[in-house]
Amino acid sequence: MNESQQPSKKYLNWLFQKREDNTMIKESKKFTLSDLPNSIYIFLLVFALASVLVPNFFSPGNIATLLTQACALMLLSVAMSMSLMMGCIDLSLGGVVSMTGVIMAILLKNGISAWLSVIVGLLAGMLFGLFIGIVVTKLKVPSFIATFGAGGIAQSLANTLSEQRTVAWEPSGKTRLIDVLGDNVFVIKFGDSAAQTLTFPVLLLLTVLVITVVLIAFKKTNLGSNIYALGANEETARLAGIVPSRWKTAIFINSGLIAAIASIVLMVRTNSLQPMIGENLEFQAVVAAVLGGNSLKGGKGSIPGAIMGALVLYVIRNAMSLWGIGTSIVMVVIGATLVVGMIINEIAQYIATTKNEQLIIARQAGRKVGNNEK
Amino acid sequence: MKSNSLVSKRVQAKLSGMSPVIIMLVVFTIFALLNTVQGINFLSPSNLSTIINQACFLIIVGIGQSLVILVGGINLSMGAVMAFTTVLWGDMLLKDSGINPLIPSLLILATAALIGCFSGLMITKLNITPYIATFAVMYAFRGLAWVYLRNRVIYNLDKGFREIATGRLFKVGGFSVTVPMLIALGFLLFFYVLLRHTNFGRQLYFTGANPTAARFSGINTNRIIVLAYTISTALAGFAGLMFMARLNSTEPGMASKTHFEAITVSLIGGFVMTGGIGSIWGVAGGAIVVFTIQSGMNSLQLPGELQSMINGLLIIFAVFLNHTLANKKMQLENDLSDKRLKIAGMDNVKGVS
Repeated sequence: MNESQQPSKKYLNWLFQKREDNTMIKESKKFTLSDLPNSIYIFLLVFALASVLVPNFFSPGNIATLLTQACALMLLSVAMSMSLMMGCIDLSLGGVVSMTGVIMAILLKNGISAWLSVIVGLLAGMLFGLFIGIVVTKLKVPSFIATFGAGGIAQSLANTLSEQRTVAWEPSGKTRLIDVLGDNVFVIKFGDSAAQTLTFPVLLLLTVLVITVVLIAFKKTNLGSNIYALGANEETARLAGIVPSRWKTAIFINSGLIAAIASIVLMVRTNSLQPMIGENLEFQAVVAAVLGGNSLKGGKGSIPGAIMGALVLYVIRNAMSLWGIGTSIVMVVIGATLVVGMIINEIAQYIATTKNEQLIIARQAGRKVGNNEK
Repeated sequence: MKSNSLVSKRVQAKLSGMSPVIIMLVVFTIFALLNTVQGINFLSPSNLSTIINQACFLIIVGIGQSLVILVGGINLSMGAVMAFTTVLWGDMLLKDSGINPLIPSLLILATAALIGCFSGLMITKLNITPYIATFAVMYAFRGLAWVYLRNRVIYNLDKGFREIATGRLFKVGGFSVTVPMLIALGFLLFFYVLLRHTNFGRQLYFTGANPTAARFSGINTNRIIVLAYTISTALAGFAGLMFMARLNSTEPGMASKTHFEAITVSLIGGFVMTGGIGSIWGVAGGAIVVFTIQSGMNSLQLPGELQSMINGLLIIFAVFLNHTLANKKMQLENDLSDKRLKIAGMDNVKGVS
């Protein structure tokens, strides 16, 4: 192992000649395969299997469809993975998706301009997040129970407001924003059939934008490190000057906002919204986040991993429906994937920790040799 | 507070330990008052017996969920196991099958226990979080139930078998005592004795309160956890039997919300998600609260959509109340033990508690 490391060490020494003392730190930032979220292997495996086994799966049209369908879940899994990393769980996501969706749909139906209704919807999601945050931080109710109860409240609000009927609106001049969101950014035709047409919908662009903003905030500001610190050990984080209640409330508000965006994504295509649309979405988000290496105990995991997890779920669903397999077997397969994914995560983590230990031992040995030479 | 006598403090401490009872009384009073305004006699014996009779099914599922919550886990697979096991062996329980209903019943219980053992092993051996492991089991077995039965419904069950959910024993002034009530009472008593007066019960509490300490003191925590999941899921199987007998049919989509109801019941009943705290009688209180609200709202003719809102608010409120009262109880008990020491003249002795 040491021999294989030597060329890279030489290269790094050359690269960082002025800062020789820092070579060790620079070296540890070197990209390794284990830096990738584990779910990328599961994703590649599932994707390769689907491409080989299922005819029509690996076509531009189908992959565009798959990505567009996965938009809402990708967004929700971002929100879920952030709350999981902090040691909380947000089971209200599904309910909030329904509630904000119904609010926006009713406003649109009554001829209120699309901009205003979208803003009201986003604000409603954030307000609900604030409510959950207060319940969790001030009343000291564990997040599992608080969000579980709040999800029921939100879903029930959605049902009451919509009287359990689908809310639909007529596209008009005022709903131009929604029409634009439902459009395509570009369409490339490789052939005449729908399968050979690559489309890039605005929804996907919106999703990618939101995810990029979250990722940049996560990496470049102290958001990410604070979330990890709070998830790993709340007491230590508090003593280090991070205010847990403030960050927790902020994360729940953020969850509400992302849930509202997800409900926009779900309703623009059909110009209508069904009040039960968010049902079980929170569980799918948990599954996606957990497949992506997030732990329910907090303090580890990653956002890209969760997004990959969401894609895994949709690849399975898409491939099996193309294959003509009923949804009941899909349920079984998703359950099995979850277990297999968890086992793969466990193994990958075991390998990573043992490798780390070996690396530390090797480094210590290397340092000792170096000192003797001096 | 300082002027309070010893007796009143003791009473307060006792009261603080009975939060499920308090919630139950509050809910009963509210709905009785609301219904009296509407001119309906909510507290009539027949209405009470209906509520308790319906709650019995939830009590059994609630006991199962509580056992798992007691060891710091959660069991999301209950509803799916109920559906899967009854669908799998349901054909043998049909009226004209000619098989003694005891055999399929035992098979259902055994299958459920096996599934529970499987999830327990996944949690302890593969180190998967309980939430995820039981979620996977839920998904897989709900799917298998659909795959097995397709779009058929198993209907028209054996008469003798249906007695376990529909049987009536005798009437006391309008309050009819039914078979489910007896079954639920039997389960409550059995699990009360099991949890409070046996080794296994103490080990359950200890494992939930602090798994590491429990392991170091020689308890095989893995075995305890697997057993907790096995018993819990077997109870789900039993609840499935009762559910099926009451509806006289079974289908793969049945009991789709049962695991949530079970969690609600045990949380209202004073169990804590982190484990190690809770009393089995709270489950009965929680189940009765849930059905009181349901029946009260029905008789007030409120829309059904509001039901889940009230349940959501109730869970948050109940957990908040349980938490606050538990803290208060601990504080009061500390005060009491201080006072006792003072009376005994030992307050100056350091290190005595």
